[in-house]
Amino acid sequence: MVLMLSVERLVKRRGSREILTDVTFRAAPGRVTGLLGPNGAGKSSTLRILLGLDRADAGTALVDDQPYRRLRQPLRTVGSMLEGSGAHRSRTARNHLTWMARSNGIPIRRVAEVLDQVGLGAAGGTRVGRFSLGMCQRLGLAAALLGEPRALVLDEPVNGLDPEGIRWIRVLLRGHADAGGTVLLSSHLMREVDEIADDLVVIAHGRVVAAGPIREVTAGYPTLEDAFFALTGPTAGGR
Amino acid sequence: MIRACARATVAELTKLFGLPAALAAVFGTIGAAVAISGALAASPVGANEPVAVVLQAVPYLQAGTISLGVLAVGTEYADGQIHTTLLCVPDRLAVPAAKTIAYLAWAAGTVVAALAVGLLTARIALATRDVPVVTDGFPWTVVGAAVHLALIGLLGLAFAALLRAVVSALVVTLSLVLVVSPVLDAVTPHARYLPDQAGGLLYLPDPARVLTPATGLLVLLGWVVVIGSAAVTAFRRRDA
Repeated sequence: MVLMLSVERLVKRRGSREILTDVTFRAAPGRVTGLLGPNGAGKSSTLRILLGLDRADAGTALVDDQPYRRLRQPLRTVGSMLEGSGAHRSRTARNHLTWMARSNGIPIRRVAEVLDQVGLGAAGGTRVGRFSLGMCQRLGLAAALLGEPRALVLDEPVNGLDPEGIRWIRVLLRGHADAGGTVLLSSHLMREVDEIADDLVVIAHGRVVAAGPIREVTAGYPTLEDAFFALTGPTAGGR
Repeated sequence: MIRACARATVAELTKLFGLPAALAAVFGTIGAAVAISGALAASPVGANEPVAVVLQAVPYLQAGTISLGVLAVGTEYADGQIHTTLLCVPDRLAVPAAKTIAYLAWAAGTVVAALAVGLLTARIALATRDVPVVTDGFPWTVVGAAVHLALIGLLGLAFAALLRAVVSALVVTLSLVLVVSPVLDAVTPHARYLPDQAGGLLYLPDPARVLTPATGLLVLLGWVVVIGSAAVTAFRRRDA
């Protein structure tokens, strides 16, 4: 039942620019892994390759032992959330989750369950275009949870959430990892990652500059913030 | 594979149902069929036969199925929905296959309903003018018109997949059918190889008799296959 997410020597080029260089890390079951880095460091690009949206120029990104694109009913294995709601603004939240459920043979009752779970139970019939940023984020989480997946891959999950929402997601992700699930999340917000992650992968200029249990990565620095700037700053890290 | 495709198709049907603009395209097409057939049949200088009346309305109805086809794919590229689609169905061939089947199901229902109510409206309008209605056998030209309408919308879907946007795909497909085609028709006889004119032979006779309904259908299908293959190739190669 364990599910490992592994990224191995990933290289990605956009034009002549190399945006990922030999990115390697693992997200282990039972743990929350935080992918931390400044904006433009390559966090989203890495997750998009892991989720089969973009192609790597070299290297592999695997869910257990196969690429995401090879998964059948992927929502039942990996629940994911990228930036934005991922739903056309003229649909209702319920229609969005319903088509997603049908595409993966997920029972339709799950739609109401996840809407309740993320606190959108009363907004199922509302068009996504009328949602606030925080509600879009909650809808994205509902979509990630729909297939009761063992792994969650979340790009900047706390963006746009209010303090109560941030606390709620922290409890949710902790619970998922404690139940044996795998959680991989990206963030540029150090405090959030500090409070939620067990393992840390620090990425800067498309390279992994530090990885390991959070205490090891921050050892020798007073705070995660100090570690972060020392690792990702212009004089350190990426080269 | 077949089960995965079936699931993806059901998802695409659900997606279209949840898109208000797609429902507007469906009911707009049916409404336009009623309005145009009614107006043509009520006019004293118009055709005096329900089938002929409805066939005159068909060129206008192309805008309806083209809109439906463009919306089915073009809306994926707003609000990041294409990412959700590919996260649900990572197979880059299953997605276009499911979209095509779902579109054809919706287009078939729309076109059959539009042509049926168009015929009914024409019949009633002609009856109020006391025009005797002659029916001679099964109106195969109406079936041809239905096939043409569904396929011209599929061309819109293919353009939307290639251009990845609703507006530019609508502009390209509608201007090809409603502007470029009539203009070129006045200039060169080769305009008969344009998709709408070739497909039009399924319900209108070609005075020049260069293309038959069968070869006209093949030319239209050729357009769909060429644009569609280019779109699928790009879809498989591009990052989402």
